[in-house]
Amino acid sequence: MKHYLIAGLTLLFLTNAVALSGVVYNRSGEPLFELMLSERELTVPNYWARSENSGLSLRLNWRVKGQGENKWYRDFHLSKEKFLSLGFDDIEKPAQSNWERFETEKVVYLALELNGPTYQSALNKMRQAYKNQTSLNGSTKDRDVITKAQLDNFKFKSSRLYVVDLSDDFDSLADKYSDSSMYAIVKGLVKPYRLESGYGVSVNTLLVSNLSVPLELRSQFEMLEPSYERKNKFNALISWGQRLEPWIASVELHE
Amino acid sequence: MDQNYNKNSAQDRIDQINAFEREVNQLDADGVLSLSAGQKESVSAHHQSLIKQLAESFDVDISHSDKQFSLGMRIASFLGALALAASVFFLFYQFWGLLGHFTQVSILVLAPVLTFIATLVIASKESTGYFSKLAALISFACFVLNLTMLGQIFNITPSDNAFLIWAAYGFLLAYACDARLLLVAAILSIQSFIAMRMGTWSGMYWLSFGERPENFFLPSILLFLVPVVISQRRFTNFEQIYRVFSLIIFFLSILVLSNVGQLSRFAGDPDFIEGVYQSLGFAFSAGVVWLGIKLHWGEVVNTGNVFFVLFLYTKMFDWWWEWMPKYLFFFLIGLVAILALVVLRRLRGNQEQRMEGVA
Repeated sequence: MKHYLIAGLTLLFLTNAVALSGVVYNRSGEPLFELMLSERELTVPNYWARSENSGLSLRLNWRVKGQGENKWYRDFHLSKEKFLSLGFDDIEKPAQSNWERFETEKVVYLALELNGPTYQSALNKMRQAYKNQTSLNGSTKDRDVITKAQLDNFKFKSSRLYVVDLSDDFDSLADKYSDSSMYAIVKGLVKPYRLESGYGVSVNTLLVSNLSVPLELRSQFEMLEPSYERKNKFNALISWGQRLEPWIASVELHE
Repeated sequence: MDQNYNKNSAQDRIDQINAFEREVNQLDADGVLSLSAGQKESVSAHHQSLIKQLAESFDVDISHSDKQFSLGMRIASFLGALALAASVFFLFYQFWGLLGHFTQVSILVLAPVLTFIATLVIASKESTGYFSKLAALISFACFVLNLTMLGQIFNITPSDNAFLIWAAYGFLLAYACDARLLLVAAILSIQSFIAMRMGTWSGMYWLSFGERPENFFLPSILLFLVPVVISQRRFTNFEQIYRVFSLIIFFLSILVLSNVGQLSRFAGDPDFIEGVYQSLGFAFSAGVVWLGIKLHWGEVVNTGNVFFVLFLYTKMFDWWWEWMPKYLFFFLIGLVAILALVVLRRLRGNQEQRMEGVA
């Protein structure tokens, strides 16, 4: 029994020591990136206070460059060179259907941009399309119609956080997007595809997309109404550390 | 007493003694064999002494009613352990958001440590093992919660290393307490870790390991060989568990690939890949049945039989389901089952004849 005791306690303490030292290392020194996100980029679950899970996590809400209002469409078109540079094998022929070949996901570095040129460009495009449409007096096809509500939603409520680039080399992305108040380099999962029109990846998820709210900041969220009634808003400073793991540094409510 | 006894062989010996006593009484009643009073007394004294020693050393059932009670205790212990493990999770979920980081981390670290120490203390004092196994399962649940919640609290990037650590702890507890359920948990964890790591080496994300079932072949084979390399005699049914769960994972992987060729790591026509894996499925399951008969591994024979039938039925489904009337489809399935029965009975008859010839 003595051997089991020593082995077990060693395993338990060593595991926790490694895990916690990773946390300490991640949060040591200056954060690599810091973005001031709002309720547009951080989703608060409704009625979380009544749930049996007393913990509160905010979910990062992001888009892909070129995504538009169709939130579920997260394809990123790439040149063949860029596609192969991510470490994928060439897909010899375009898939006729999703079931022809089941490609697997890979971890790459993603460049996130907050309220930058990508969002502004998308917003301007939408404004222009709405303006052109109203001057054409209803000749636009139904599926392309942009309503005032959709335009307002994009201006005031939709996420301004975009995945604008990806690479399997962190340093090259960090050098290219060096403004750490507008850009963050994070890890994410992508799945490759090839269509007749070319190569691309679907950006499926960020490796860490749920951010736990620490106790000292929790009281701020207790004052929020459910999202569909919400009038007040918040800003949260999100920091990314040495291991690219994020945490919520501060939260501020405002009207 | 022979030091080579373990719990299973001790129980077998006691069952053998009880069967012997019943048979001697029956032979006496039939007038075939009658032991003298001296012989009966000598045999009875020897048996009583042996049963006493075995009962003191192992948790064995001396009578049929003992067996029934034991079964009830095992079921209660299993359900109780699962329920308590679940309550640990939900208890923490209920309150963790109301605690600061230091308190959260302290609880998460101390819970598995204290329950582990309690498990070993109970195991050293208890002969039956029911309470120590229960405590061991709670300790395992606390450790899973430990790593999972640290990950959530500090937004740590998920890693496949957690499965390796959980497997190590599961094996430790399983061998410390002779706990089969924890051995199963450890086997599944280590298989998952090896498959995940193989997936990572081939360039995919570890969590997608299920999308390439071939990743499970190597860990299944390795774990099947563990009882061959390291004796498991001292532990109750550990050999069988290694074999059965290795085979289940192995055959499930082949079954998936024989129906969804697109999941194979080999690029090629999915229909061809499925055909290859269907053939391999039949061949390996038949081979496993043969191996089990040869080496007297009953659980291996049964597992092989189950998967052979599964492969057969999925093949028949592929061939006939779309175009055949449903009543005819199920009728044919039934006929195939009857044919299998006839074949197995004939094989058993041949086996018996061979044994009579040898005698």
